[in-house]
Amino acid sequence: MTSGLIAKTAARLLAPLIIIFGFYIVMHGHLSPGGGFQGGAVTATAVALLVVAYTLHDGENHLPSLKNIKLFESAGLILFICTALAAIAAGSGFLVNWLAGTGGLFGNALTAGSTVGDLWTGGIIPILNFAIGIEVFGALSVVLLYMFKGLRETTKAEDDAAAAQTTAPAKTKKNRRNRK
Amino acid sequence: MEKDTISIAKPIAIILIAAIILILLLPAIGLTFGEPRITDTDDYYVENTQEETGSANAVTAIVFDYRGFDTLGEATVLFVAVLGVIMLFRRIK
Repeated sequence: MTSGLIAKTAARLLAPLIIIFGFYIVMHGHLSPGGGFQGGAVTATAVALLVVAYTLHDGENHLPSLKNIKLFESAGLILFICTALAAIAAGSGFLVNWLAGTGGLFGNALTAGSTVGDLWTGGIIPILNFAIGIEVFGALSVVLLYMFKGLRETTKAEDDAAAAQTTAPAKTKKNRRNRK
Repeated sequence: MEKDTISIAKPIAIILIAAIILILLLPAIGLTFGEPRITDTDDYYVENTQEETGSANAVTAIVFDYRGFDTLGEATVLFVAVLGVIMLFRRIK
């Protein structure tokens, strides 16, 4: 299946905006609804859009290579575990939020109550959100790309040949009789 | 013959499943929605989340801080699921 110029151009223009929106959801997970899982899924939609609008063969030129996407996924899980282990190194327990309120990275004090929110609060929560975000992005993209690789995609020439075969013989009388 | 047994077995199976669902739902009679009897944990989260975690979003604070191990498990499950998909859809050369 090949798609037209409008679909390709729209996909090319929309994909960066979708990725930006996905990472916005990831990085604002500790302030607004959303988080790593939701943002990662949104980001993976850009990959799906590009692969559907272009074919997989052409779309891979617009995407990071499969090896790099796998790297994203592994890096996300490793970053999560390393952040959790870093808490032990800092003298607390595994996965303890030791950065919150210390004034360092993401350590600003949060004004209690209903608040607009400061991006640099939350301690290790934004870091874990980011780790989960790139992991979900990588995971869903890898699943999509591997499943598309299992399909045998038709080229433009084959599509035209198939279209010509289905429309052209219908004009002759013999085929019309056969169909009835 | 085979067709007859299927046509009889199907309604019986539906009645059995409906009966089991009804039996399982029996304890829910008389429960009111939105008024849990024990609210200690909820109150603790609502009152202490912002001070303890510095996160304005209580849901994210619970998912990534109070229930961090659960999230670590979820991430691992996702990772293993993707490994399975890669194994299924790989091309053997």
